[in-house]
Amino acid sequence: MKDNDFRRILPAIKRLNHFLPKYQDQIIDRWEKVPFMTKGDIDKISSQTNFSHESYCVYFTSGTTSKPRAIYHDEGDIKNISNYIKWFCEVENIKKGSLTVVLMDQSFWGVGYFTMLGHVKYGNQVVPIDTDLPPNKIREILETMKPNIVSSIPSVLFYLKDFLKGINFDFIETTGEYLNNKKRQELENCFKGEVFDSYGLTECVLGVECKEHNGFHYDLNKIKLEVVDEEGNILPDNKWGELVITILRNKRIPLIRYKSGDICKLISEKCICGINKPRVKFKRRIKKVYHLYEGYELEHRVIEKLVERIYGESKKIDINCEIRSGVFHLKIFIKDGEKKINYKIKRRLEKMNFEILHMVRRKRLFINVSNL
Amino acid sequence: MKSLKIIGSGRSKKKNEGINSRKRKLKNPDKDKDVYDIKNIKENLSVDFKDISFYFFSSGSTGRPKAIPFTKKEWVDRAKYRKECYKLIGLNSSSRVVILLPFGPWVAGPSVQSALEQLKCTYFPIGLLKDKREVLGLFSIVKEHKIDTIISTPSFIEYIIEVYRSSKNNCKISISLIITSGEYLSNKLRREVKVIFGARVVSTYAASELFVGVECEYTNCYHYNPDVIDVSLSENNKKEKGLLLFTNKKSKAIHLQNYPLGDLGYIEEGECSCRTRWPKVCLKGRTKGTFSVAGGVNVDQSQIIEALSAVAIPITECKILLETKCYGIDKVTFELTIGKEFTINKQDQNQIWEALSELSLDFNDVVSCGQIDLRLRINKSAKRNNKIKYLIKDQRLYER
Repeated sequence: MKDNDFRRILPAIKRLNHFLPKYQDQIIDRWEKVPFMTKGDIDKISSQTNFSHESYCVYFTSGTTSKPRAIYHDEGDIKNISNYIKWFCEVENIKKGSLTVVLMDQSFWGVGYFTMLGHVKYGNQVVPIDTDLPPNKIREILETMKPNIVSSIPSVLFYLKDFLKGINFDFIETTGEYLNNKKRQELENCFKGEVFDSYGLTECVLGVECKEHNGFHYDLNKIKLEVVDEEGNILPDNKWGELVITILRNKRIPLIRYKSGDICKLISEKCICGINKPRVKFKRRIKKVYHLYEGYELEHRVIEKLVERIYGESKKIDINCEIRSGVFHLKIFIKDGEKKINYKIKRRLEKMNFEILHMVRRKRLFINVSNL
Repeated sequence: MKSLKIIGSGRSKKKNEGINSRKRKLKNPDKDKDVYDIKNIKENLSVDFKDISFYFFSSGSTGRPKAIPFTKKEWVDRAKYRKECYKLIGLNSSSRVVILLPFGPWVAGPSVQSALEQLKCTYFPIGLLKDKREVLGLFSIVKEHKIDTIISTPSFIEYIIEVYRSSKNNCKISISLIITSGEYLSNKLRREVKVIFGARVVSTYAASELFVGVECEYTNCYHYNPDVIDVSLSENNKKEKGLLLFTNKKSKAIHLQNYPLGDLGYIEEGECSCRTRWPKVCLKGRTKGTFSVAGGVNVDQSQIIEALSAVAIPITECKILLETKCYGIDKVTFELTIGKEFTINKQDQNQIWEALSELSLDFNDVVSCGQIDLRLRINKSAKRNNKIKYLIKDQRLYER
C-alpha cells in the first residue's frame, strides 16, 4: 500500500538511482524501505549533477573542510522557501505592513535573502543590513527607521546588544543557532520584544515557533519529519531520537530521509495557539560541537584530528568555548603540548575555512591553544 | 535652463565653497533639501507609505545616510531594465555570473541579483571579498562552477588582478566578460583586463537612486532606454558638456525628475554601430570638488567642509592627496593647515580623524573594511586665508 507521501517522492528516488548504489540495490516499495540520506550523499549528488542547463541562484555554506559547499536553488526552490517564510510570519501573528530589519549576511549565505523575500511576500517592508556594517552605523539606521521587527542570529544580536542599547523591537526573529531559555530571556530583556525562534538546517528551512514557544510548527504538505533511534527504527510521537527530514517537493537535489544529526521529538497534538500543524522540538546535536558566531558549528573531532595530525600522535585535549560581550573565546588545552606546535595549531585553526577566518578577522572569535 | 526644476541630490553645485558659506547654507537647510534624506523619507514619498517594500541606503552629502525606498513593482521594473541592458552586452540565460558587489544595506548587489534572476541565468551572490585568501577561494569557485562573467567595481577588479598575478599557475581562470559598476572604468584597467584574462570589459552607469545604462562594444558612452530614462543637461545644448540631469520615468516611491548625479557630460543621438537606436550619454568628468575612491564611493567637497566645521578647529587649507596603496586600495591623505598660533593635541587629532572617517555611511564602510587607507597630516602656517583653500591631488594608477 503506497501512501501519498511515498508517491510524491518516487520520481526523486528514480533520479537518485543514477547517483547512489544504495537506491539501486534494493526494491523500494514503501516508505520504510527508502534508505537514509547523509551529508556525504548530498555532496556526491551535487558533484555529479549537471547544473549547466537551467538557471540557479547559488549560495554557499562551509562544512568542516576548507572548501565552501555550493547549494543550488532553482526558481521553484526560491519561491518555495520564501512562501514558507511568509507562512512563518502568519504563525508569529505579525501585523502586515510592519517594518522588518533583516540583520544577517546578505550574500554568500542565503538565509538573509530568503528572509527578506518572505517578509516582502507577507506584505512587510524590509531593510536588509549585512552584519559586516560597523555597529554604530547599524544603530544609526535603526534609530532613524524604527523597525518593529528584527530578524537575525542570536550571536549577532548578543554582539550588537551593547551598541543597540535603547533600541526596541516588537518581534525578535532568530534563526541559525540553538536558543536556550536563558539566552531568550536575555534578548527579550535587552530589546523589549518577544523572541520567535525558527529551526532550519543549511539544507532546508523547517519550522517556526508560535506565541506558545513550545516547539517549532511545520507544514506537513511541504515537509515530512520522522524521529528514528540508533538502528533507524521510526519512533512514536514524544520520543527523543534523531530527526530525519524529507522535502516533499521535487527538488533538483532531493532531500529524502536525510539524517539531520539533531536530537528531536515530534508532537502531533494540537497546540494551545490553535494552529493545526504538528511541532518538532529540538534538544541537541548528536555530535559534540562548539557553537560559534553566526551559527557556525565546529566539531570536537575536527579539532582532535588536527591536533593529532600536527603532533603526529593522539593527545588528550580539553576545549572550552565561552562568550564575553558577544565575542567567542575558544580555548584549547593540550596535555604535554609544545608552545611552538600549539601556536601552529592556533594558526591552522584560524585559517581552517572562510567562516572561521572571517570571524577571526572581524574580532568575533579568539582562539587560544595552550598546555593542559 | 531656467525651466528645469532640479530636485534631489544634496551635492553642492557651487564652486569653492568655504566653511563660512556652508554655515550660511546650514541656516537654511530647505534650500539644499535631499529627497532621499532619511529623516524626511516619509514626507517625500510619492506613494502611500505602506506600498514601500524595500529600503536600501546610500551616503548623503550631509553625512547622514540616504534611504532609497522601492515599491515591489518599481524594484521589478528596475531589474527588468537592467536585464534589457545586460542583454545588449551579450549576457543570456546560459551565462554563469558571480556578483562581487556590496549587498544590503547597499543597493548595488541586490539590484544586480534581481536583474540576473529576471534574465534566468545562473548567478552566485558572493559580495565583496576582503583578503587574498578569500580571492584565491573565489578563483577555485570560478573554476569549479565554470563561471564566465564577473560583475564588480573597477577597484575590486584591480585587487583581483593583483592576487591573480601573484598566484601560482593552478589558480588560472577563464573569464569572458567583466561588467563593472559604481566607478569610472579607466582605459588602463580595460587594457590590463584584456591582456590578463582575455575578457571583454563593459562598464555600466548607475547610482543607488537609478540605473542609467550600459556601454556597447563600439563606444565608451552609455546607451540608455529613452522609454525608461530621460537625460538632459543643465545647459540646453545637448552637444556641449554640462551637468547631467536624469529623470526616471518608471520611478514610483519617489518621482525622480531632473536629478543630478554630479557628473558632467553630453548626449549623443542616432543609430550606433552596435545597431541599437538608444541614445548615449557620454561622461566628461565630475562636478568640481568631488572625487571617487575605491569601492565606488563618491565624496563631495561640502561633506568634508561640514565634517571639518563640526570639529571647531580653524583650518585654512585642506589638501587631499589620492594615491594607490596597492591595487584596489586607495590611500587618502588629508593634509590640513592651521594657523601658527594654534596648538593641536592628540585628542583634537583623533576628533578630526573620526570626523573625516565618518564623512558618509559608505565612506565609513570602505574605511573600516580596509579599502581606504585614511591618513591625516596637520601643518602650521602663518599665512591667513579668508576662505578655506581646498585642493585635490589625484596620483592614483587608475584614475577614478
